[in-house]
This record gives sequence, structure tokens and C-alpha cells, in this order.
Amino acid sequence: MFTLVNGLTTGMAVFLVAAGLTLVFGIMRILNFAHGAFFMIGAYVASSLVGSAPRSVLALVAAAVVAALVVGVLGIVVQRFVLRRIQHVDEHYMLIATFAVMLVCVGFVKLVWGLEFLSVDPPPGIDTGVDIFGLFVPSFSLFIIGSGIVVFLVLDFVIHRAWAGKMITAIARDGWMAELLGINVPAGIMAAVGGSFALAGLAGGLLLPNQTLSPALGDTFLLLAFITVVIGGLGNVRGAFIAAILLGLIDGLNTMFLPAYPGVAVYVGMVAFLLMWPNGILGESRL
Amino acid sequence: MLEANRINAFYGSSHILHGVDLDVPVLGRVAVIGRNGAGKSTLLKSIMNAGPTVDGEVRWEGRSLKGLPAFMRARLGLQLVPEDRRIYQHLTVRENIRMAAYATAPGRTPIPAQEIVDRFPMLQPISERGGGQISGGQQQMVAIARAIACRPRLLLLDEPTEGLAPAIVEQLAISVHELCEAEQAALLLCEQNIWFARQTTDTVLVMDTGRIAFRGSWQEFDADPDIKQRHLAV
Repeated sequence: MFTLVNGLTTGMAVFLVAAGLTLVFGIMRILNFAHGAFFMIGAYVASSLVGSAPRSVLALVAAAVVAALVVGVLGIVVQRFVLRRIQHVDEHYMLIATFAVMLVCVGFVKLVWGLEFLSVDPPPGIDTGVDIFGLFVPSFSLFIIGSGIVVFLVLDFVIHRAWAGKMITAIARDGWMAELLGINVPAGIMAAVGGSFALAGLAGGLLLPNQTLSPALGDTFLLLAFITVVIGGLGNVRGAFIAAILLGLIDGLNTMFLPAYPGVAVYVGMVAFLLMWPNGILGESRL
Repeated sequence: MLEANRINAFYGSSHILHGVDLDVPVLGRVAVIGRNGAGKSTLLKSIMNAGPTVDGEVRWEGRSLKGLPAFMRARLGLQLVPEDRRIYQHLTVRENIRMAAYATAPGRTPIPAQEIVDRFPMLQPISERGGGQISGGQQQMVAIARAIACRPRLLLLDEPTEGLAPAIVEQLAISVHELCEAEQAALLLCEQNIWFARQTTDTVLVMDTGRIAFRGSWQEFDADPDIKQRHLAV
């Protein structure tokens, strides 16, 4: 039970980061190495707003939303000046260009927030634990699990049910035809990519408590998010959600049975999943 | 209404169109016929700025379209129905039609999807079906219905009869004729099916290897059997 809660917490935390990553791929066919760095900027922005001890859950969520807006705007800038130029060139250029963006982001964080580690406590209300069937569960874990599920449900609704999502999907699947139907394709892509980056910023803000903020924060999550996106099927948000839960649970079991080898099972799991489903559990998707 | 002067079009380094001139008057019905690879599709795409690199001038109601992206041209009232139809599979037939509303010119209102469905008897039973679950003939009807929904001033049809059964082609000819009349839209049609082109247009251009080899009425076309022999026979 404890493993389950822990695993779900890890899983939902990773999903929050992976969601934006998989969306950018679904829309532009670009693997964004800088995604983790933008997650980190979101976390730093939120920490500057709430300090080391946020006053309430609401303050934390509000800070996460502001972080999302800031990172979303940064995303539009990156899309405008970097991603758009490399969309139709060889993949190597994408990797090099987004890697360069990541380096710039990390340097920016070092300049603005310095090299010291910062930490933020969970706000009152979710800083203790609750008793579930005699088991002590940190309420911050429940907050993360809840956030992950809410973000997934909202995204799934927007992509598959809302008209805006249908339009973005139309642009991602056949942008040429969308242009002929009078849709402003560059503006649509820009909005969608801005939204995907905003998700990274939101994740940074929501996952802020209990983290040690350092300029290396982006890397830790980026790797797990990449694994999630690949296992779930590139560009597939539902796939990423399922994969994140599976990875979280695998990692939880790893901690329970092999505490001396942290993280090993995740990689073994990735190899196993990719052998079974080379294109991801739900398959690659243009959204 | 639409004038193209000395259009040269390129895909990479291959030169597809060589100095093509074209004129579609208001409510004009113009067919461009020619063999596969003659450059018919490239001509339509050049007019829309949707693909090839274009050199030369395209004018719409006297105004140059230079540098205008495809979606802006669509919003001026030019609607291209591509030969591969490109119906969105993740959308239903009705949603596909609704998607075209963005191409409505300023000051005009799009035709509601329901009204379009009512006007095409073929679409009524399939309006809630997914774009990937309909036949080729139905896809062509959806593509044309979608183009009409934004009340275009000029309809550009690229080989609408390709891959369709003869009975459907006959039906399509009637539909296209009626739609252009009802919507007061001009028509620029690229076809290999001469019968279909004759049913729906009054002026004909013959295209051969990126050049216009003949232009005139269908009577003039018939009067010179040599044209058929030289530029259309396979």
C-alpha cells in the first residue's frame, strides 16, 4: 500500500513533466531537450513568489499558475526563434538546437538564482499526513496525485472533445490542408507549443515543495519524462499517463525490494516495454 | 477575377511550370486538362501558395497576392479541393465541414454544417461517421461540401473524378454544376476526364509539360482534333 502511494506520487510527478514534452512532439515532431530546463525555471519562478514557506495551498497553486504563464511566454519565444526554424531539418539539428536552449536556460537560472540549493516546504494544509486504513500517507503525495489526475483529465478533454483541441490536432496531422481551410496554422502551432511549455512551468510550481532546487533539477525529471514519453508512445498524452503510472509503480517496487539499487528497475522496465511495444503502449500519435 | 501572369513554379530545382498565363473571369468556368505530370496540380497549388516556389504574379480582383500565405488566400474566397481529398480522420463528416468556417471571407457568413448536410443527400446518412470510415466517392463529396461551406468566390478542383465509379462521376458533375450556380462561385477545374470537364466548364486550357498549349471554347477544342492527338493522347 505504501509502495502504491509512493509509486503513484512519483508517477504523477513524472506525468506532469512528461505531458508537455509529449505534446510538443505531437505538434511539431520535435523532441525538446530543453523541456526539463523549463520545468526548472517554472520551479524557480514559483519559489521566488512563495518563498521557502508558502502560506497556503492556494498560494502554491497560484504561484504554479504564474510560473506556467511565464514559461508559456518563454515557450512562444523559443518556438518563434528556434523550434520553428528546425522543424523541417534533420533530427540532429533538433537535438543540438534544443540542447543549446537547455544550456542557455541553465545558465540563466545560475545567473538569476545562483548556485545554492533552495528548498521549499509544503504549505499548511498539505504538510502533514492523513491516515488511510491505518497507513500514514503524506498529504502532499495526495496533492501531487490529485494534480496529476486533474491535469490529465483536463488535457484529455481539451485534445479529444473541445473544438480547439480538434483544430490543433487537425493542424498537427495535416497542416497543409488546415491552411487551405483558412486556419492560421503558424498561430495555432504557436499557441499549442506555448501551452505545452506552460505545462512544464505548471509542473515546476506544483512539484516545488519537498524538492531541492538546484540548476541540475531539470535533468533528474527530464530523463524520467523522456522514458515515459517513449514508453507511452511519442505524442500520445493518454499513453504518457499510463506509462507514468507504470513507471512510478515499478520504481516503488524497486525501492521496496532492491533498496540498494535505486532506479534500476525503471530501465529494465523500459527495455521490456519497448521490446513488447516498440512504438509505445498506445502507439505514436500526431496528438 | 483571378489573373496569373507568367507563372513559373519550382519544386526544389525542378522547373514545373513555364510562364503560364491564366485568367478566370467572375463566374467563369475554366477547365485545365492534360496528361499526368503536365503541371495541373502545381498550377492550382501555385495559385494558393501551397507548396511550390512560385515566380510571377497572381492577382485577385486586381490586387497582387504576392507573399500572402495560403490561409490568407483561402480567406479571400479561394478554395482548393486537393486531389487526395484530405478528409480529417479524427473528425466526423460534420466536423470536417465545420472546420472550413475559418476560410470565410470577411463580411460573409459560413453556411452552417447542418444546412450543407441537408443540401447533399449523399451526406445525410454519414454525417456523424468518422472521416476514415467513408468510401472514396463519399470522401470526394465531403471534400467539395467542405469547400463550399465557407462560401468561396472561386472553387479550385483538382481531379475530383479520380478513382470514382462512372455512376458517381455523373452525379458529381451535376452537383458541381448546381453548386457553382447556387453559390455564384467561379470554377477552375483540373481534370483528365474530358467528359466531366465538358459538363462543368465552358472554357478549356490544354496543358503540356508545364506550358499552356491551347486555350478556347469547347467548340474550338473539338474543331481541332490535332490538339487531342498531340497533347492528350497517352
